[in-house]
Amino acid sequence: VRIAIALTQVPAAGERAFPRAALIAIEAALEVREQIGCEVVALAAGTRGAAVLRRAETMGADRTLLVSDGDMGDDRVGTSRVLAAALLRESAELIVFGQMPSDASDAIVPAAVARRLGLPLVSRAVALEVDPEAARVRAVRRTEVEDATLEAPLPAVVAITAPAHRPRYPSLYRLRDTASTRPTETSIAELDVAPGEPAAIVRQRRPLDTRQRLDTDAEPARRIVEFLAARGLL
Amino acid sequence: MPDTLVLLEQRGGGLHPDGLGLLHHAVSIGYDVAGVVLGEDAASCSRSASGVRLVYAGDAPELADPLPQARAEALAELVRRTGADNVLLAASELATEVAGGLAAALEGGVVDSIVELARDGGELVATRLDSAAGDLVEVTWARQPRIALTCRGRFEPRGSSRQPHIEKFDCPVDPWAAAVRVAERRPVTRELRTLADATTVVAGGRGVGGPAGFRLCEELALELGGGVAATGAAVGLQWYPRSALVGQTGRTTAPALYVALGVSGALHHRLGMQDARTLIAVNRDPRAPIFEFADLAVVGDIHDVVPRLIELLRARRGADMKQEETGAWAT
Repeated sequence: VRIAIALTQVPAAGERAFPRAALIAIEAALEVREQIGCEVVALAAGTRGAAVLRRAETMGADRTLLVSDGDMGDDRVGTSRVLAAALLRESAELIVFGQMPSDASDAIVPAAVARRLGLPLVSRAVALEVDPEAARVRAVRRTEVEDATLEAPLPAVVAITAPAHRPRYPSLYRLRDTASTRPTETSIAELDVAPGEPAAIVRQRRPLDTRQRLDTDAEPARRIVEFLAARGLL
Repeated sequence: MPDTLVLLEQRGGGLHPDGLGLLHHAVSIGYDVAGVVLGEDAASCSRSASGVRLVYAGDAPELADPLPQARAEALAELVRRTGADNVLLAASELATEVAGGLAAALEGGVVDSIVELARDGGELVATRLDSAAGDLVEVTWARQPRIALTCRGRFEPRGSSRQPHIEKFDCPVDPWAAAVRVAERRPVTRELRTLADATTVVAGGRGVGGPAGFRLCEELALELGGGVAATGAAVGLQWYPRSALVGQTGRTTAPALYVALGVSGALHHRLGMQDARTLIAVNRDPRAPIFEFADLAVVGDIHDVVPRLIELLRARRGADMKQEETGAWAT
């Protein structure tokens, strides 16, 4: 069995912390490896992906693969195209994405990749069990409405929101042993996929409304709900 | 044939108001709109989609479970048949995943976090929220079909007596898109998140008045899917456990939303939460320093404002609540 971690989240420019969704994906994949014993390959795109791959390696991933010119920016459809092409080469039985509940991209990209590969999607997963003999994956999908226990045949795409444990720290031994290893590099030309194109054309940009103050409002609670809706926080 | 399809998500035997509101908005800006209802009892649910001329109802057995893949395929098939240019979805966990599958199936363009949708000539124009930059961005689509995901609670359904024509459609769903089986379903137990995991934090200060005020903080945090924080003053008075302390001597937190209830905003506390992206403060004291840096400053008694706020948020979730149990307080 081979597990591929698809690391779509990279640190923002000038940011040193790793996106939590990436750490969650790595941790979840390593937990499955401890359960069943298998190979874990981490995959990322774009030059900034290299840092996340390094982290995956020091946490315990066996191999890393970088599509060096595969950063598609805001083009999620393009991102899914690159990932699908790279994942197809790895022919992994389990493809793991990390997912933050409030992030639209974290939901869109795994669904798009699953569609391209024609694989079942188990998303918003909180508890992951892999049965290599039966070639099945079982997970709890936790949504705002319910907890649904899902079962899917392998190969499958899993988007995980919470692994069993907190993401582990890099191990000193791994830091030492992998000090000189570099990710295997490939390119979109080699994968034979089209470069990304922006999904949207920006007409104008303006800052969000400045601060609001309600001193004597008849329905302050309603104003709060409207404020939350306007900021996408509901 | 309609040029715009709006996915109407089912919720507790009816249709979710966010989808209906989006449907009515699309009609009002002049598109030829059809609603799409997918799932069990689609046809009978469709009847509540008033104010539109046509609703497509798909109730293939593969659509019975609330999972995205079969829905994305059915919707893609409908876009192919109708030649629709626009597919509008009101964001939910399910709808966002449907949008992803749909975009890959049709090589369409997805724009998410939309707070306004307008029509400018023939062009669909969206205003989307760029939370990271704190900007509103006006965009048009570079690719068709245009797939739009709108933010929750942005469009209110409008009353209408116009009854839709309901057209049943059946579409074969490929086996791979229906390979996931639901073994068990149970209502979710809402739990407070830990401060390390929470993207929403509700904080209580001395102004909440006592431990009972913190029950209110917890109730609101549950409703918002977040965790609870406390100021040094509140912890000092033993109103809430020290593990929740945010500030100079406690934790530092930088959630997407920080709701400060009865918090004065002393520097000690501010140091622990100043990186929160959005801050809402409710305080009785109009001169509270926290109002100097809150994005939304509400002068008022939390015992008036918060219960009503919880009520409104619950009403929004409507039918979901009926089947839900409330979890134990995670203190």
